[in-house]
This record gives sequence, C-alpha cells and structure tokens, in this order.
Amino acid sequence: MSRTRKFLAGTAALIALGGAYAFAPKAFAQGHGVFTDAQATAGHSAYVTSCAGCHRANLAGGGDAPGLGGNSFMTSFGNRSTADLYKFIVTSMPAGAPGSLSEEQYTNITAYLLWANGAKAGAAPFNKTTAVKVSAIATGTIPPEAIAAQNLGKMAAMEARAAEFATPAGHGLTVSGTVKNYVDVTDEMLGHPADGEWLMYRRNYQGWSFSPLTQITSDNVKTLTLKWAWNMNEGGASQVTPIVHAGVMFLSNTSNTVQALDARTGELIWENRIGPVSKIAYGGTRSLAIYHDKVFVATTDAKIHALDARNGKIVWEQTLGNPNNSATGGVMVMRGKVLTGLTGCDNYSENNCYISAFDADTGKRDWKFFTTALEGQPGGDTWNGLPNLLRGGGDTWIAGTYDPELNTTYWGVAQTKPWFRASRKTFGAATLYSSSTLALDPDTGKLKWYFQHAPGESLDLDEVFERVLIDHGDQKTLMTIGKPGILWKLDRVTGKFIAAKETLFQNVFANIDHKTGAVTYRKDIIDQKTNQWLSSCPGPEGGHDWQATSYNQPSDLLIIPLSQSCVMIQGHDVDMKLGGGGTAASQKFFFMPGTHQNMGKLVAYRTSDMKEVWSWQQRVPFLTAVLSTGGGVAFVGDFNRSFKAVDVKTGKIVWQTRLGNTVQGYPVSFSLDGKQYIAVATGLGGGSPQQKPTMLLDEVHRPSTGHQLYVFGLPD
Amino acid sequence: MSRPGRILSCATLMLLLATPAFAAGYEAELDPVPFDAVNRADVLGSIGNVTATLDGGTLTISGSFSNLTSNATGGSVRIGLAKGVPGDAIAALTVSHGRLGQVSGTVKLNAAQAAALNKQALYIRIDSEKAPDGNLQGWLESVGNN
Repeated sequence: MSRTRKFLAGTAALIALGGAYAFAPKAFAQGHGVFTDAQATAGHSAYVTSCAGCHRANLAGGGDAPGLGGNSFMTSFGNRSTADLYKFIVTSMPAGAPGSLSEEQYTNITAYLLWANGAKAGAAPFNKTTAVKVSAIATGTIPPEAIAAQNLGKMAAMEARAAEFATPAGHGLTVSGTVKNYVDVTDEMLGHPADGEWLMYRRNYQGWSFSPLTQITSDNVKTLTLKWAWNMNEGGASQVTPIVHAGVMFLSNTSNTVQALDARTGELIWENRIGPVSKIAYGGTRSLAIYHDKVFVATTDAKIHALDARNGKIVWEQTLGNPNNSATGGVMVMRGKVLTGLTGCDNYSENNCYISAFDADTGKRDWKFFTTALEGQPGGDTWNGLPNLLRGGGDTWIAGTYDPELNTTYWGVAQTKPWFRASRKTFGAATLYSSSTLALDPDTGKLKWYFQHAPGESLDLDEVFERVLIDHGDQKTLMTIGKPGILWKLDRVTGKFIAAKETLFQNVFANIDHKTGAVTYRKDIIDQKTNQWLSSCPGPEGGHDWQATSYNQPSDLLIIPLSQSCVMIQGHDVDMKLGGGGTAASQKFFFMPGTHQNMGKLVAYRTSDMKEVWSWQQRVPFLTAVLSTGGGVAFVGDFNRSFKAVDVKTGKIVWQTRLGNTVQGYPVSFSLDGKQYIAVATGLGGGSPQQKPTMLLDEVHRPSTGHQLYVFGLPD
Repeated sequence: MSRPGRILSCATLMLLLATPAFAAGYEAELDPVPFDAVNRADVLGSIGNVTATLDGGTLTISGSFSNLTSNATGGSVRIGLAKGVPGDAIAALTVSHGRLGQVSGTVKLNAAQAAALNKQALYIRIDSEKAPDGNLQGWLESVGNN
C-alpha cells in the first residue's frame, strides 16, 4: 500500500471510529423502548449493507423503493404494529430475495428503522412477536445522529458488498490482453451494420432488435445447443446487451465491469473492473457502445468511461451527474458524439436531469439537454411555478435511437418525481418534458420537437422506453410503448400524433383522443390527494417496461413483451427541500382483472395498420427484450427461467429450454465463420419487473445467484 | 345517412331496446385483493369465480371460492369508478362460512348501477376472518369477454 493510500486508509478508519463513537452513545437514549441500543446499531450496519442500495443511506428512497424515514415511513407503518413492520420486511425484503437474511438481521433492521424514525431504545430486546403500534413509539423525526452516520454507512455498505461478491483482483484492469486484428468501427458500420454483428444496444440506429441472419429458422431452432457459457458478476441488477464486433463480445457486467471475450469460445481477452461494486438492486448498465477503437460505458455512479477496445485501458472518463445520480440506460454513438442519459433524479437536487453528449475522441462535453424544463426556458412554465430545485424526475434510463437521414435522435423521458402530483404539488401541470418523446439534433442538443404522452403523469407509469423508427413508403414513423401499454405511432419528422392502440387492459386513462393523442385521466387520479390509495392497471411493472420490443422488418410485426399486474398506490407528503422528494409512494399488489392470473403476454402488431396479429399469455412475465431474426424466429426469456423461440408469423412456441435463473437482459444474434449464434443472459436485480412477480407468484423459486451468459447455436 | 346506414342504425337501436328482455350473462374470476408483505400470506393463493345474469334489471349471482386461509365471513356486490378500481358495497351476498364454499345473491340494479355493470365497474368481494376488508375480488364482465 502506498504512503498516500495508508494515510487515506488511516484517516478513513479514524473517521469511522469517530463516527461510531459519536453514533452509539448519543443515538440511543435510554427509555421504555421495544429494542436495544445494540440491536439498532447492528441494524444500521445491516441496513446499509442490504437495504441502502435501494432505500438510500439517508432513508429517502429512490426508484421503486419508498422512503423509510419521516412522512413516508409514518404514512406506511404508523398505524401498524412493530410485529407487522418486521413481517413486512421479512416477507418482501431484500427485493428479489425476500427472507434471505437471518432472523437476527431482520430484527436488528426493524430496530434500526424504528430508531431512525425517532423511537427510543430500551432494555428489552425486540423480537418478531413484539407488537406495539409504531406511531406510539416513533415520531417520524430522524435523529441528527442518523444523518451523521450516513457516510459511515455508505462505506460499510460498499465494503460489505465487496466482501460478499469478492472480486478476484480488485479494481482496474484486472486481466490484461489484446484483441487481435481489431477493426475500427466506422460511422458507415454503425449506419449499416454487417449482418453478423451487433454493434449497439438495439443492433441498429432504428432500434429494431432485429438480426437479418437466416440460418436459424422456425424449423431447425429445436436443434439449438449450448455452445459456451460465462459466469458474470453477481450482485446488483444484470440487464446486459452483449456487443459483438470482429469476433469479440464486449460484455457489461454488474459492478461496472467490462470484459472482452472471444465470441467463438468464450475465452476472456481483457477485463476492466472500473467499479464501484454493485449494491443490491443497483441498476444494470444495459448497453455499451463501440466506435472507432473505443468502447464506451456509462456507470452506475454517473460517470462515463472510454476504454481502448483492444486492451481495455481507460482512455478518458467524465462525470455525468452528482453522486446521487446514476447512468443505467446504455450509451449510443452518433456522428462522433457519445450520448447518454441520466437517472437517479428522484430526490430534489440542484443539477436536475439531462441528456449529455461528449466528443468520442477526447471526452469533451459537447452539450446537455435538460429533460425537466427549467425556469425561463421553453416549457419551463409547465411546473405550477415550482423552482428548479423541486423539478424532480425526467430521468432518461433507456438510450435513444437515431435517424441519420433526418440527423435526429429520439429519446423517451421518464415521469416527474415524486410520483404523485399531489406529493410534488404540480397538480394538473404538464411538467415538461416528463413522459415525452424528444427529437433532438445530436450535433447541438437543440430540441426539434416533443410529444408528451402523459402530461402530469402521477402513478409511476414511465413512457421512457425504446423509440422504434419504422418507414412505410414515404411515411417516417416512430413507435413506442410505455407502462400504460398504449402503443403510440408518431410522425418522426414533425412529432405529429398518428395513432394509439391499447395493447392490454388499462384503467388509468378514461379517454384517449384518437385524433390528437391527448389523454384524459380517470377522475380520482385528477382529484388525488396524498395518503389516498389509487388503483393503477397496469401498475409500475407495466404494461411494457425496459424489456424492449423487436421490429421484425420482413413481416412488419412489432413483437411486444407485456406484463399484466396492477397496484394500489398511495402518494406521501414530502419535504420540499434539497434532498427531499423521492418517489414517495407505497404500493399494494394485485393480479390484473380478467387475465386469469397470467402476468406474461406476448403480442405482435402489424405496424402499418396497428392491428394485432397474434398474442398469447402465460403465468410468468417476460424479463428479456424480444430478439427477432431474418429466419422468422423471435426469442424471449421469462421470470421462471424459460428461454423460448416463437414463430414470428404465428406466435407458436417452436423451442424452449430452461436456464439457471431468470432470463433477463437483451438477447442478441451474431455470426462467425458462417455460423449463427444466439446470446442471452440470466440475471437478478432491478425494479418493478422483478419485484411484482416476486410478490405475486408464490410458486416460483429462484436461486439467489445466477448472472450468466449463454451462447446457443445449431449443431456442428 | 345512406339507406343501408339507416337500416343498420335502426336494427342496432332495436337490438339495444330489446336487450333488457333477455337475460344477459356475466362472469368474474375472483383473485386476491391488493396486498402488501404484511397481509400477503392471508390472501395469496385464494381463488374463485362467479357467474351472473341480468334479467329485467335484477342481477343474480352464484359462484364458488376455495383456498382461503381463514373462513369466509361475508360477500358483497360493489361499485367502483372503473374495472379494477375498488368502491362501495351496493348489496350483500350470502357466502358459505368456510375456507371453500359458495357465494350467491340477488340485487336489483338502478340505472347508474346497470351502467356501471356495462362498463365493467361492478365487482364481487368476499371477506374472511383474516381479511375482513376483502380477501377475494373480481370484476363482472360479459361472458366471453375474457
């Protein structure tokens, strides 16, 4: 260890000891509490290890995870007993792996949450049968000591996760090697990718997730065999898109690790563990980008890195946002610029949310486009007079697409935060550019047009997902589908509404104007108040979520994975100040009426006339994007480990196999030496698409680990 | 309006006027009510179904349920703003007081309630000892709609 590192380590240890000293005696003044000091202290450690990754070290919550301090906590649990609180945590947490901690850990976490909301410690230890009304002992006031302990908590969490999912050789370039015969990726290659390559997120700029390869067909797909597999990093959320170029697969693992593998054999060529180490449910880095001699990755700590594609060494890196932000949506390169979005904009922050562009060669930032319109800017008057600080949300957590002829890039923008308009006090205001499609000039970041699908959205129903660019003769369209399950068709030259189609039951909109695309919310949604339960079908799982569609160009079919679940959702009051806000809601889950408890639905629409061609349902939802091919086969994977191939024209299942865990991510197809391959990953972690089926499907049992890549091909 | 259009409109109007004279069929699958981690074990896994006929404004309901984790205590027909949206009871139903059993009852619908039935905003709820505010629920839809 270097002298500097020794000094830093020593300083950190002193801070930690000092923090612990300051934390323990002051924190737990003796009283008639239902838990002990020791339990709350141990619970704090367990919380930062197993809970803070989603609920945040400051208890503010984020994404699908509600806040656990102050109003949010008291609204959710104030009228319940401490035994119910314990039961709630054991039954549902950690997300995706409920019941996986020890009884002692759950007991301690319960004690910590009570203490962090103003309850006093006492002599008697808490146990799972201790039943006292939470509001009788907790005030909802977070003790200053809890705030002071947050940084300590963050450090502990990182170290604990690192220990649990031990990395073989620390951080940085952990495996050195060189890609032989590397070929630079040109603009021409990105615009017209070779049939056997997968150079970007959705394979082409138009976002089709379509491979023109024809070797694997609906007739021979039943003979697919495993060619090789690769264990990936555990921990965090794995939602990977393998990128394949010149015989090399570039793979984005959790914990912000990038690997280059020989795509023929699965042999590792180089590995860069950029870090930081993932925490539970930490968002996945969905896709890398590749351009010239560099691989680009936006990491979960809101940074962007350019790596030398030949050897994995970092060429440049830039900061995207503040420490509470993240970047999970993947990266796109267009006209020599690296574009990426930003997420983690739940809590009130001075930097708001935006899309960024960087020079691919130098890393110099070219432009930012603020996705929450700011005061004094166009659209800035749609926030009910809120100051910029209180303009939360507008995350861009799915990378955009691009039309080279129009030189326009298309991005979806997520909803406003907090979720409830009554919580954030915007009421009927549109809150641009949330829940919109944006058309931007990639050279300048200037807005060409926008279309807001859901003005003033307030039920966590994102419209952020893939924008698919499809031409019908001279008509240039953009199609997208969000959590409400409405398939939208826009004119991508002008942004004019063309059509909308409901792909599954929804009760959020009482009306959709089929001339203008304007939606009218159900009356109780318009009249909402905080602490009121509202029904949302679909719920935050979607409808449609990040599991992207595939446009099978030969058949003109857009194949869409859908989920059928509903929630009752209750918005909370929030602190209208720096660091306040958050998503601020509780949820209860139920099956979508009329679905016979089938959560998964796969449907194909002909895009020219928006007519449904086929659909079928199954018990479990789909956790992968759809991949379709020129061979007339579509691939999709599900929550219960099944990876299926269907005939594109009929939807009939023509092959399926069972993998090691939930099939999750973005399957791709590539070819080498005249052979076509299908690559798909299994993975855990994530938000509603993992959380809802975990709660609703009692019979599905999954391993607690299993991030893995599988590569299939026809027999030799 | 063209002549075929007028004929079609008249035929549609006659059909609509004639509808109350015939018994219309409805059905609902009964699924667990909204739950969170605390009451999940009390309701998840329970199941049921009902059929209903509307005859002259009278809705007659019969069905069954099973797999409750505690005895059923009551049932009701309820009205919400839309399918999937909970609301108030408009009539009580008779249920077997067991973990599986039958549900039945008759209710005379007023105009607003009949309109709610047509837009799938009427639903059936069964309560139980462990879930007194609802264990199973299901929205009535025309037979064959599912």
